[in-house]
Amino acid sequence: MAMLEMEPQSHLIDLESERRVLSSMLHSEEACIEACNSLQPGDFYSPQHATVFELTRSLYEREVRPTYVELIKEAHTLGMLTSVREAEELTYIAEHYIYDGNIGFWVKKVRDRSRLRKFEAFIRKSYQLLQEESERDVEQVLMAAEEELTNLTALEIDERVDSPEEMARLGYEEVERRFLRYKEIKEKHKGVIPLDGLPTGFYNLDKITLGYKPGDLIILGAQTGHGKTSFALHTANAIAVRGRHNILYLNTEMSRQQIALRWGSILSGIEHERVRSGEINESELSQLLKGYADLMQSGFYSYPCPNLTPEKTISIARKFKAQKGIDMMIIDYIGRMDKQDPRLQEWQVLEQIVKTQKMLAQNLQIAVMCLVQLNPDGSLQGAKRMKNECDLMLKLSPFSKEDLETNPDLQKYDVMPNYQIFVDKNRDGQSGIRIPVFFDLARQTMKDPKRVSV
Amino acid sequence: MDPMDQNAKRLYDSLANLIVNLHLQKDRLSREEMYCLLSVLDMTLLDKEDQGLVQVLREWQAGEPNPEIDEIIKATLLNIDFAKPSALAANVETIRELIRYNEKLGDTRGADEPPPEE
Repeated sequence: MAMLEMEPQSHLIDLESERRVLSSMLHSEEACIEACNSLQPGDFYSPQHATVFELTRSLYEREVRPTYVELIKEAHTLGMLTSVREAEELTYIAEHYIYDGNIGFWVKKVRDRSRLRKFEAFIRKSYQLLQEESERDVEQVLMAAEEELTNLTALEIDERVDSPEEMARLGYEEVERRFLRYKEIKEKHKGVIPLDGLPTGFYNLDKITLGYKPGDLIILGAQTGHGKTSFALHTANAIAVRGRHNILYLNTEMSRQQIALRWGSILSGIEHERVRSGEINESELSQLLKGYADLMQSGFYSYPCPNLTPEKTISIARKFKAQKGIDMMIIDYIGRMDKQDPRLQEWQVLEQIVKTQKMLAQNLQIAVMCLVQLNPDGSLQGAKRMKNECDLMLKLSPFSKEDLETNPDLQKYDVMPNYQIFVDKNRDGQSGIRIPVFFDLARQTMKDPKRVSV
Repeated sequence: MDPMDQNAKRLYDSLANLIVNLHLQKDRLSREEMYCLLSVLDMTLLDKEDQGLVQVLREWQAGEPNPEIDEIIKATLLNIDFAKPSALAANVETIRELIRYNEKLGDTRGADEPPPEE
């Protein structure tokens, strides 16, 4: 037992870096996001530091700016600050702050030391085992040690290898869950599709995709002026206003006022031009107020950001995931993101952005929708690479004049469809399908036209 | 959260420690007084949203002392829930009214006083 109880070697303890991380969290939001995302209380050697980390993280998640003063108040309220000595320890941590903009370096130092301490504990445990049980099955001992070491070296906290049994059980449970839910919804709501993720806002798209799922990267391509933002806000309406889920909308082009006015038109059904010019009557004004009251109750968080970079999207998404529990992020649109490296060609930049967003979606378990601009011929720059990365690729385009005049199929709807969503890729289901939609340009709204018998 | 300059940070840390020690060590401040002063410290040095509280406190300090009104203002300050901006705003308004009332009292007293003898 003596081996196990020994303190770790001093070079495996880095209290200085721990204090640096904690004091940075008390001074910078960027540091808070980075530390909350990369560290766990158990990564700190000092129990006091682990507690301070937990308190600071808790303040940040509750949207209280974690200053030194707030930390004192929180600790005191929870009965963790009752003596002068404890107050001095907090002071000592807060005094360690030096702004060097390199929080990632200190976070890595804390995490690396934590992993090394776990490795040291593993070696000690193994050595102890060798001394105590000489008669054990060698194969078994080595296998157990190998498993533990593999977990320690290769796998991050949220990664794991599934055994065949686990995979089969998971598959069965998933199918059973869906089967029961489908049955229940079919009986109760008569045919409403049970979704796996967030509603898309279009019945047929819901049917094909079963909704936008956590970890999904969705790419929506359209030419300039062909409804990218309208599609994004239609999605936001379905998810955040009607579905009351929290989403984050990043817009690189429009101002806050422009976005707010668009909502007025979408939620009241009044022509956008009239909302913009103020050419409305009293009754329309109350219609607009009702629309904004719905928006007020919704989970729509907007972040207009003309100089967006992939790095910025990561930090904003992490912040909103921690503080608002967002289920989706929409980036409108990625072609306007700032280039970090001027030597890269446009397709390389887009590829980099898309890869980052896919990782972000998986790490945060949210759906990420990226809006991209199509070339005038309907093609997409770097399309092959983007297609590889995403789970769902949609293209929005208007029907040609010829189609509208000659396609008899388009006459079979209550409202004549004027746009189509082409499902170019769908990782979990059918692709190559065209979904007709009606895009009301005057009101900036979209809807599913209903099939009628002619 | 902009990084503070070194002097401001030193001042901030020292004041926070002083306030905590006056409560923990010397028992000179109550728990509520400590919370209130710490919150005002954040508003003053870290520019946290104060709903006009700091300005109102300045006005209060610049005005004529009135033990009765001062006690009411202090009690109002100690009962503010600083985590709720709406509660803070309402209490700031109450304090502002109390200050105005005190000013009016001062004016009335001034008018009632006999003119100085020549």
